[in-house]
Amino acid sequence: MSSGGRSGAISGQDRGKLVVTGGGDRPDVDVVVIGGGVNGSGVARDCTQRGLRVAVFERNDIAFGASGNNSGMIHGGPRYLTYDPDVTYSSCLDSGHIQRIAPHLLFRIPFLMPVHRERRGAKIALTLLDAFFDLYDKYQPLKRGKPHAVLTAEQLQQLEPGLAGNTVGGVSFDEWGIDGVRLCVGNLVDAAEAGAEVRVHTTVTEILRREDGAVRGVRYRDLLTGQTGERTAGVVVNATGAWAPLTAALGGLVPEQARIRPGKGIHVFFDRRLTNYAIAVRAIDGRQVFLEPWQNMSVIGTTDTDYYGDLDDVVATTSEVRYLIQAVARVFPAILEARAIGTWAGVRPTLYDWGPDPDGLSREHEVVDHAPHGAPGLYSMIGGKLASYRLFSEEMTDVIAKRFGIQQKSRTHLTPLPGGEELVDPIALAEDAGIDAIAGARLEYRHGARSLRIVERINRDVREAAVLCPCEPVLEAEVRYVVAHEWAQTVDDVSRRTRLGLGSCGGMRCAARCGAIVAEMTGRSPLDGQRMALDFLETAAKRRLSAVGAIQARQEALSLMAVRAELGTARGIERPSGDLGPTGLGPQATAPSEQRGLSE
Amino acid sequence: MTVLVVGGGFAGIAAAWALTRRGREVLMAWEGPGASGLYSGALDRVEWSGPPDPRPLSADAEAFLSALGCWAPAAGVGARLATGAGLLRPARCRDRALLDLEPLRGRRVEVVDLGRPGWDAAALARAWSASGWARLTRTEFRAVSVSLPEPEAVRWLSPADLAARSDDPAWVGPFASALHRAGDGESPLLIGPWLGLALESVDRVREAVRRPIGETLSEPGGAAGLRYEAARDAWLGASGIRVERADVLSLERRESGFDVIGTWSAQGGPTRLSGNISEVILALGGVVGGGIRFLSGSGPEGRTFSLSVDAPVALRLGGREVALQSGALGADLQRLGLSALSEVGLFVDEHQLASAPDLYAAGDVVADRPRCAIEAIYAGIGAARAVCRVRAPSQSP
Repeated sequence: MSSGGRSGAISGQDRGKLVVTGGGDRPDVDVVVIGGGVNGSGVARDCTQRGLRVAVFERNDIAFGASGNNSGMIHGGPRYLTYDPDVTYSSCLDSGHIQRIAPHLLFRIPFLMPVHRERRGAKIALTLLDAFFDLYDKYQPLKRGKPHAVLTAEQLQQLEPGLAGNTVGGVSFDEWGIDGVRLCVGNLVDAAEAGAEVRVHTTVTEILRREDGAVRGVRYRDLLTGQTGERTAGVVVNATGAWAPLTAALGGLVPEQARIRPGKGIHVFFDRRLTNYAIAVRAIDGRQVFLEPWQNMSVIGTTDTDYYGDLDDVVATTSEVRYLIQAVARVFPAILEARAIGTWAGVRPTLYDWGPDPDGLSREHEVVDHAPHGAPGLYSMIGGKLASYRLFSEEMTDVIAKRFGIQQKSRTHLTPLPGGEELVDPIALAEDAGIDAIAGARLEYRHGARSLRIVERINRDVREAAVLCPCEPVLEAEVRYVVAHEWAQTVDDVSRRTRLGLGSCGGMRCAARCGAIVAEMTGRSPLDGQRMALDFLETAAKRRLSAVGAIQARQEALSLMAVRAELGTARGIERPSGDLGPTGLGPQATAPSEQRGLSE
Repeated sequence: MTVLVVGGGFAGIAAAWALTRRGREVLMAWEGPGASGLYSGALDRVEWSGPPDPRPLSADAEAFLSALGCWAPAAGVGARLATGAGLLRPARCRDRALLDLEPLRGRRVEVVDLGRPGWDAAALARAWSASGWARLTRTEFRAVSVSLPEPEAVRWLSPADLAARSDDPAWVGPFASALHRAGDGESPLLIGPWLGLALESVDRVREAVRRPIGETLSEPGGAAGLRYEAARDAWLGASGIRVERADVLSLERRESGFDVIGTWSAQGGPTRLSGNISEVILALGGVVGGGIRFLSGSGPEGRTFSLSVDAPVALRLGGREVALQSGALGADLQRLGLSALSEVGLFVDEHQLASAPDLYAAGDVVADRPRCAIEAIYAGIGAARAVCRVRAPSQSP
C-alpha cells in the first residue's frame, strides 16, 4: 500500500510540489481552505486549476456536515422560482454543468406532486401548479430535465400504485439525484492530483494574522495523531458551512462577522426503493416534504428548524422522524410498515436574515471579505447549496484569483471530475472483475471510470473481490482503495465514501473487518481497528435509534449481541489501562500500548 | 403433573435437564431459534471484556455442560479463543470444535488459508500475533495455505455451507489430508468455523487430520449455533422429553394449574391446553429471541415493551417497572437508549420466581442479569431447583 494517508496529505506532499520555505517571504501555499464540504472542495479544485498552491484542512471528515447529509439532489430549486428566480436559473445551469463533469454520479429522479381534493379549490390549485411548472420548464433544458406533465388521478395511481388519498390529479417534474459525499471526494481528489495538500481529521486551531491584521496562515492539529503544525498562506478561505462563525472566531473575528442562520434538516432512509417516483407532499403544517428513491434505498425528508446544538454531533430525533413519517403516510401509507434503517441530519448554513420562517430563507450564497473587519486575506463562504456549489466556488476563486493577479477564468464546468472522464459499462466491469453485477454497478456509480483502478486491484489479488458489506454491497478492494486514495482513516470515513455498513445489517457483519483493514493500512494496531469498528457501530446505532420500529428492535438487539461476542463492549475496550481487557492480558499484566509498522 | 418450559435456548434446555434429573415430567415448547442458536461458540458467565469471574462452575452446571456433549469441559482458567476480527478473547467455556489457545501458549499456531475471500489469513495471523496475550505468552500465528483438490468448489461457499460439507465422508478425506500436510505438518491449526455442523463430523475431520485443529468463533447463524441446536435435539430425542413447535400465546392460572393457549404444531389455530401443567418456566429469550417485544406503534396497549406471552407478570428496566409510553406515536427508543433492548426483562426473586405463583423465568427474559450463556444455564437450573423445591447450596445461584 502507498503512503496510506495516515497524515492525510497524499498527493501534495508526496509529489514534493509544496516547498516549505525557511526564511523568505514566500508562504507555504497560496490558499488555505478550511472545510472539506462541497464549497471547500470546490474552491480547492478551482484554485488549483488556476495555478494556485492550496492546502485543505477538514476537522472531521470530507462531507461530514450538510454536504453529506442532505436530500442528495442537485435540484433546480423550483421553490425559489416565485421569489428568487435567479437562484433557480443558476441552480439549473450548474446542475447541467455537474452532469457533464461527473456523469456517473447523477441519476434522474422523476417527481410526482399529487393535489388532494380535500383542499378547497383543488382544481384551481392544479391549474396554478401547471402554470408554475410551465415556468419551471423553461429552465429544464439547462439541466437536461424533461418538461412537466399534468396527470389525472388515474394516471398517478398507475404510475405509483401505492399512492393513497382522493386527488384531482397532479403534476410530474424532473430532478437529479447525486451522492454529495462522492461529489466532495471527487473535487478534492482532483485538487490533490493537481498538487493540493488535503488533511482530514485535522482541525485549524488558529487563523494566524500579521501585525497589520492580514492573515498569514493557520495553525492546525491532527485530531488522530495529535500532531500540530503551521501552514502559511496569503489567503485563508473559511468554507466551514454551519461552523463558519466558529471558524471566523479562530482568526480573532467576532462570530457575527461570518453570521449564518443554522437550519437543521433530517432525513430518514429505508431498506429498499419503495417507489419508482419521488413523491412531493405537504406535511400537516403545510410544509413541502418528499419521499424519493435514492441510490438503492428510499429517503424521506426534510425538516427545517433553527439549531444551536453541537455541530459535531447532530442527530435526528424521534419526534422529527415521526413528523416526516406522518406527513408521507398521508399519500403513501405503506411507509408506516416500511423498514427505516437510519437517519441523517445536517445543518444548513443559511444566510442570516431575521424574521422569515426558515423555509422562506433563500439558499442564495455570499462571499464575505473580512478586510473591512481588519482581516484582509480572510474570506468566508456563507450560505450556498449543493446544486450551486461549483458556481459559488467559482465566484470565490474569482475573488482570490484577482488578488493574486491571475487572469485565467474558471474551467471547473468543462474539465471532468475524477471518474467522469469516460463512461464505463458496469456489466462488463463486473464480468472483468468476476464480481456480482450489482456490486459492479454500485462500484461504477461511486467511482465512474476510476472503478477500473479498483478492478485492477482485484485482478492483482482475487481476494480483494471479497464482499465486505453484503448489504450495499462493498468489496474489499474498494475499501482499500478509499483508504489509499481518498483519505479514509476510520471505519466511519470508509462508510461515508462507500456506504459500507449503512444498509439493513447496520454494519454488524462488516465493521470489524473494515476496522482491521483500515488499521493495518494506516499502520495502527489491531486494537485501534477494533475501537474504530466499535465507534462506528455505536454512532450508526445512535443514528438509527430514532427511527427503529418493532421489527428492527429485534435486529438491533441481535447485532448488539453479535458485536459483544466479537468485539466486547465499548466500555471494556476503552478502559484506561489500554490493551489489557479485550486482548486479555489479565489485570496484572502490562502491555506495550502501540503497534506500528503493520502496513503491507 | 408436568412442568412447561417455554423456550429451547440455553436456559430452557438447562431447566429441562435439571427437571428430568429430579424426576419431573417436562413439556417443552418453542417457536424458532433465538440468541442461543445464533451464539458464537463461546460461553461466559459475565461480559468477557470486563473483569473475569473467578468462581468455579457449580457441579450442576458442569454436569449439564457435559450432558449436552457439544461443549468442552471448563478448564481452570477458562479458554482463549480467536475471533474472525483478529482478537484473542477469553471465555469461560467453549464449543468443542473451537481451538482453545490456552494450552498452546508459546507455540506456533498455523492459520489455515483456503483462499477464501473475507478470510485474510495473513492479516489475521498478524493481528493475533500482535495482540497482548500472544506477545505476553510468546504465541505466534502464521498463515499457511492449504491446497484443496477443487479450491473453486469451496471458495465462494458461505461459512455454514462450507461447514456442512464435512457431513460428507467423500469430502472429509481429501480435506483432512490437505490439512494434515499443510505448513510444518505438526503445529496446531486454526481454521474458520468450517469444521462441521454436527459434532460427529467435526470429530471425524479431527481424527483424519491427525494434528490439533480448531475453529475461530462463529458469526451469528454460523456453525457453533447450529451445532448447539443439533446437540440439543439429540439430547432431547434421547431423553424422551415431549417437544412442541408451538407459539405460546397466553398463560392462565387456574386452581389446578395453568391453562396454556398456543398455536401447537399439530393443530391449526390457537388452541387451549389445559389440565396437568402445574408450573411454567419462561425461558423465551429477550428481545433477540422474541420473548420480549418492543412496541413502537401507537397500539392500544400503550406500553413500550411487552412479553410475547400474555402472562400475569410485569416488565422491568433499570430497576423499575416499565412505564406506559408517553410519546404520542409510541415509545421513544432514542430516549431509552440502545442498551434498553438487552436490559429489559422480567423481575424474578432469588428462586427465579416471577411475581406470580408457580411461574418462573430464566435466561435473557430476566431483567438486570448479564446476557451471558452460563448465566442463562445457571438461571435455568435454578428455576428447575425451585420448581422441585430444592434449596440451592449456599454459594450457587
